[in-house]
Formats: sequence, structure tokens, C-alpha cells
Amino acid sequence: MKRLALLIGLLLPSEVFAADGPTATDTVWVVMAAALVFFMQAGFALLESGMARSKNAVNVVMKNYMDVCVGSLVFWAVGFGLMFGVNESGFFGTTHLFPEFDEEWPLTFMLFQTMFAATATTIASGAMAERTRYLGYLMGAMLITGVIYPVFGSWVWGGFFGGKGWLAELGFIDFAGSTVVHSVGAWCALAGILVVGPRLGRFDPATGQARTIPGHNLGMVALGGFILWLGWFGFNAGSTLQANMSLGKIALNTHLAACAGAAGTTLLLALTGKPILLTLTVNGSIAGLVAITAGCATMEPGYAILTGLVAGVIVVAGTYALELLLLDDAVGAIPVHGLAGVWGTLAAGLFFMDDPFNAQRIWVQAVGCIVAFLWAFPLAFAMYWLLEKTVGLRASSLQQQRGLDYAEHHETGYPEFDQLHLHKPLSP
Amino acid sequence: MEERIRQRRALYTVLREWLDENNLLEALQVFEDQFQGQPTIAVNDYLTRIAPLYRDQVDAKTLRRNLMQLLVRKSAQLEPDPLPLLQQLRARKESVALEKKGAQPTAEQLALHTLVSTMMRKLPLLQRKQLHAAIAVQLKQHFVNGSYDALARYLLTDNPLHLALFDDRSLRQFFNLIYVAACEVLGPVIADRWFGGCIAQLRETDQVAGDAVNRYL
Repeated sequence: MKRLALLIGLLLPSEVFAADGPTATDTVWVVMAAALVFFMQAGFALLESGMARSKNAVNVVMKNYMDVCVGSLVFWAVGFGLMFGVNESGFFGTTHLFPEFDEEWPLTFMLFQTMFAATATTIASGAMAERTRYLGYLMGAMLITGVIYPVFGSWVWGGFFGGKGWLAELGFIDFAGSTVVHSVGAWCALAGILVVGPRLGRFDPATGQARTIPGHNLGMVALGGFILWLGWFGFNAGSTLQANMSLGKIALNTHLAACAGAAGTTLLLALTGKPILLTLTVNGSIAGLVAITAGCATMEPGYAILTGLVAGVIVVAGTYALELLLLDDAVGAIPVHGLAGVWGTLAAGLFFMDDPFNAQRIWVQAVGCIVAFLWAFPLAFAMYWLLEKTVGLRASSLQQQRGLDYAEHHETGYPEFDQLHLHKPLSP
Repeated sequence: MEERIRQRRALYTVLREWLDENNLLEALQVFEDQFQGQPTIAVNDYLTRIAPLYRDQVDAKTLRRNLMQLLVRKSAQLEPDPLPLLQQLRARKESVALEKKGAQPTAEQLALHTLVSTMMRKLPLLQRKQLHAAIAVQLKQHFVNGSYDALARYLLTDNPLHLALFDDRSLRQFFNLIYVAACEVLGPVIADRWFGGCIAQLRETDQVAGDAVNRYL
């Protein structure tokens, strides 16, 4: 029981530390973890860009690059206060907008949480890749980081400066953000792809059959997957917010779940006689990482493997399900972050250390998943719909023909090697 | 649809015995424009209508009897469908009309024509037909007041004079609509390869035309 109380204590940032407060070592660890989480942006950029066609490679990287920038600024100004400010109602923080701190530790905490916010935002960029206007997307990213993500986050992790989120009060467990970060990002992405529609020719209009649009650089996809994997050690282990003895287990669970995710995907593809695609395998490992994020601190390694394995299977099924529904998710972000996030959150309740398979806890976890969808999806849908009607979100067919690199940025990723002349030459 | 083709083939089979090629096509054109799809009984009216073309050569009753007999025969005994001949006639007439109007395509429009023409020739017949159907849908959505007809005729006749009626913006849109239709019919990957390959080929074989076509990309 004492161990259980300690673990629950781990989930609540404000109650983590002893009376002395955080030490310099804690600060070093959290800053390093923040840097690792920041490095995940490079992973996302490589993975998403590699899965896009060469004519859109720059645009995808630019979206990843800039959503960190604008997202971080917005999160500093508004999001952090809404998420971690004094949360008396349980629904959002009301202090620390445009924050200034007298102490050092909140600055470290803010750095780490800013990287999380940027991660949630960037998930939509991959799903909506190759047909979304740059400015419309960035405006959406600002609203996700400024409102959608932090308000939901305050329900689970809120109250760093006082109070507590209502989902946390219920006992909802999401250690590093399977739901708070990944599912919320994925539901925003789902709303985005519904508003923006599929890429030209993605589905045969006569039969509804999905057509594969292969990415231009699968090496980049694999490298992106590895970088995300590396960054995830900071994502999960950094969420302890202190350098303590639990880091090893959290990192091990993270690693094992990623391995099991890729194995689960490979196994399912092999058993069903489908080709074992690199893109799906990488997505399988990331799904394992997403799934273990909620319960990496409260699960035994055996269960972490099981969680990852199931997540890998879910990714394959989810990818095909989306195609049947005529939804064009360019990189598979919704199965990876949304469906695997839901599974991981449920798994955190199912396999909770010392008290597994507790129906009450699983019910609370399910409530959290449903609430995340009900909050993020309609709001994001309304936001993207308004952006489509005002600023413009879907790239025109001419822009899609030319490629968004040329149409949006007037530069191309591979000027020397590009064999497809779908636009006029760039002026020297 | 089958019945229309059958009527056209029967007319062609009967009339070609009595009329020279020009008159024959004229007569078929009258049928296409005014009598197509009407019941067989309208054949009388039709023969009366084209009487000036055959008056001195054959008795109308004989012609009518032959025609009615042919209309109930098996398709194998009929001549092939003369539709391509009719389309050529229509294209010739339109060219004459366009030339009378003084429409002359610019160098850029000719370059675009070369590109579109090359692209279409590269496709197998079945895919070209599918593509034409998909382009027609796109054209209907984006072009109105006769410009739809002109561009559809352009694709059917492969005559660059039709392009002379349009400005750069419209032609850019037209070219893009071909791309959209290609994405739908061929898929985005093949469409990209098809488009890119043809543009690259034009730039390699005719640099001036290659530069000129940039206006529409």
C-alpha cells in the first residue's frame, strides 16, 4: 500500500518532491529530458516528411519546425496558465498567464511542459500533410496549443500552483500523456482530415478503393522513428520530474513497449499474408511508445510488452479501418497516437502495479478517454471548419499539382534530383 | 444508346450506296443533329429532310424500304459506326468557323497543345476514354457559358484553334483539371509521373515550347 501511494504521488507534479524541493540534479535531468522531447520534433519532421511525396517534403518539415515555434510562444503566453495555473474549479487554471516566476524550478517545469505541448500540436501536421495550407495549419496549431491541449491537460495534470483537475480527482492515470498529449493531438488530427478532405486521387471515386501514395524517402522514415524512440526516453522518464530510482524502469518499459509494438505489427502482417511494410512497422513501434506512455511508471515490464504488442496490432487494424472510411491520414497519426493512446490509457488501468484489473480504475480510464475525444474532436472540428471558411485550409488542386513546397514556400527539397516537373521552374 | 448506334449504322449502310462521301456525311450529320433517338417512324421525315441530297439518284420509297429492312437486321450485316467520320467533319467545320473568326493560337497556346496532345497520345485508349469522362465532369463544374463545350471539343478534336479562345488563367485551370482528372482515374502517383514525364520530354525536345508551357504550370 505504501508503494502504491508513492506511485500515485509520482503522477502528481506538485506532490513529487520532498520538503526540500527539487535539487539541482532534478533540474539537470528535467532540462535534459526536455531537450530529448524537443529532439522528437526532428523525429516527427523526418518521419512525416519521408512519408510525403518529394514535392511536399519542405512543407511538412516547415510545419513541424514552425508549430514548435508558434506553439511554444502561445503555450508560454496562455497555455501554461490554463493548464497549470491555480485550478480551483478543476476545469482550467486561472493564474500564470504571461507568467513571471521568482523561483527557478517553475521555469524548468515550464520548459518541459512546453515541449509536451509542441508534441501534441505536431501530431496533426502529419495526418493533414500534402494538402493543407501552411498559414491555416499554423493558426490551428496555435489554437491547439493555446486552448484545446492545455484545458484538457488541466483536468488531468492541472494544479501545479494549487487546486486539482477534475479527472485527476476521479483517479485518472496518465503518467506522461497517452491521452493528454497523444490522443488529444490525434483527435485534433481526425477533425483536421475530415475538414481538409483526402489528397487528390487518394481514393478511387468509382470504387472507393484506397490508393497507396508512397513516401519519397523511407530511410528518413526509419531514422525519424529511431529519433522519436530516443526522444521518448526523455518524454516518459522525464515525466518523473526528478532524478530518482524509477527512471530505469520507466525507460525499460518504454523501450520494451516500442519493440513489442513493432513486433506486433510485423506478426499481424505476416499472419495475414500482407507485405511487411517499413512504414507500418515504424508506426507499430511508435504506437507501442504511445501506449506505454500512460502506464510506464505503474506497470511491470511484462505488461509493458503486452501493451506494446497490442498497440502494434491496433495500428494495422486502425490504418485499414481509416481507409475503409475514406479518411486520408497521410502518416497514420490517428491509429498511432489516437487508437494506441486510448489502448495505452486503458492498459494503464488494467495493468496497474499491485492492483491490476480493477474495474473501477478501468472505468475511470475509459471515462478519461471518452472525455478527451468529446473535448478535443468537436472543438478542433469547429476550429478547422472556421479556418477553412476564413483563411483557407485545403490547398487548391493547382497547389497540390505543383506541390506545396513550390506553392507555399517557393523552394523545393530536391532541386537537383527532382524528376517530376509539375510546376514552372524556380526563378534563379 | 445501342439503338442510336444501330440507326446510325443502318443509315450509313444504305445511304453510302447512293451518296458520295460529302453528301453522305452531310446526311448523317442531319440525322445526328435533328433525328437521333427518335422512333423509327421518323425515318420518313428524315428522308424528306435530306431529299435535296439524293433527289435525282434514287426513289424515296426504295430507300425507305431498304432502310426499314436494315433496321431489323443483325448488327453484323451493318457497316461500322460512322461516328469517327462525323466527328472529323464536325472538327473541320469548327476549324473553318474558328478561322473565319480570326482565332489564332499563340506560341504558348501551341506549346500547351503539344503537351496535352502528347500526354493524351501516351495513354492507352481505354484510359484515355476514362480520362475524358473524368475531365468532362471537371469541366462542367468549372467552365460555363460555352467554354465547357469549346474545351471538350478541343480534347475530342485535338485542334489547337479552340485554345485560342481562352486566356492564360483559364488554360492554367484547364490544364490543372486534366491533372485532377488524371489523379482520379490513374491515381496520384501515376498522374505525377505522367505529367512530369511529358513536361520533361517537351522541355528536352523543344526548349522554346518547354519554356512557353511554363505559363500554364
